Amino acid sequence: MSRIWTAFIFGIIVTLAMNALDMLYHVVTDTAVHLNYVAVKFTIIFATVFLIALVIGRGKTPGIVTSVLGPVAFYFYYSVASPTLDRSMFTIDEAVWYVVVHVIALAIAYLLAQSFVVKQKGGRLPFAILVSLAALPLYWGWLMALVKLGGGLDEDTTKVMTMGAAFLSLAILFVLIYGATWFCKKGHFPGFAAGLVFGIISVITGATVLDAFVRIFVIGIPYVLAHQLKGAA
Amino acid sequence: MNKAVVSVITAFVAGIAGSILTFVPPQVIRSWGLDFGMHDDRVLIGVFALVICVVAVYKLLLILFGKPEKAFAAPARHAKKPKKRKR
Repeated sequence: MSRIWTAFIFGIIVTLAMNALDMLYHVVTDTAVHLNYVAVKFTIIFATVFLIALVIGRGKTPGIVTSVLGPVAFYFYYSVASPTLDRSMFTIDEAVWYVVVHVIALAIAYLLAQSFVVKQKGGRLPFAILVSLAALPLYWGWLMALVKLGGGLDEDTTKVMTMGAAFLSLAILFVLIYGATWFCKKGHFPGFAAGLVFGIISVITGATVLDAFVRIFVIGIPYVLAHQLKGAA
Repeated sequence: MNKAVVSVITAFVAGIAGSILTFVPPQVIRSWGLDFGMHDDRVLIGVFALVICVVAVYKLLLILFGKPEKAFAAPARHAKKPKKRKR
């Protein structure tokens, strides 16, 4: 696997997992999870993780630098860019304190990916945790995009997921992915099989066929990417 | 070109561009004729440039004072074993 591709996959997986932890923190503290800011946060954090993994490498020191640089760069964006959400109605993560929260979330995601999944330590559990964390923002983002595509306002996208629904979704994703790793240790098939089960569950609970089809990839894509990271030098 | 020189040039150019796009007020940027896209787009590109600047400085520090991480180094098993000296 080429160096650029490895850094790219690593950046995607770490950023998605970091976003999941951050989004969970948001719903716990009752602050808005807004589609535009999630997209910008993903872009900036991904650029940081990708560039450092590509130019410097991966390890303890690059991990610490990445964990600090990404959230600080993101804070600069927050401080300077024009607000796209009514701040009198919604609290978002623009306070200085949230830099620390983002640093902790990014450090956990980086540690999980680099020290456990890449180095193949800890067996199936860290892999399942990382993939379920990486799948959650994709699922959440898809739900927010559905609201937006349906003509909803920016404010409406913040109300897509409650705290209970977020943790329930994460638990379902984890059980499916952990089960898939039991089902078959090698290959990419288990990820898509878990996605198919997730899609069938969603159809049973009232989702459309298109929604169910997208959910196959919500689990399948992070599974495949994380699987390629296993043992990557 | 020397890697250190490339790092210095990258850090300098990206740092200047990033600082201008991120921190200079939109009215001033407009008066300079650099007002492409929306304000938020310029800020995002500026932040990218600042990240590139920091990474270039980090690379420069590693070149000057330290060793890069061995994440992408060749596996040890491919390395040739040193020959034993005969006495």
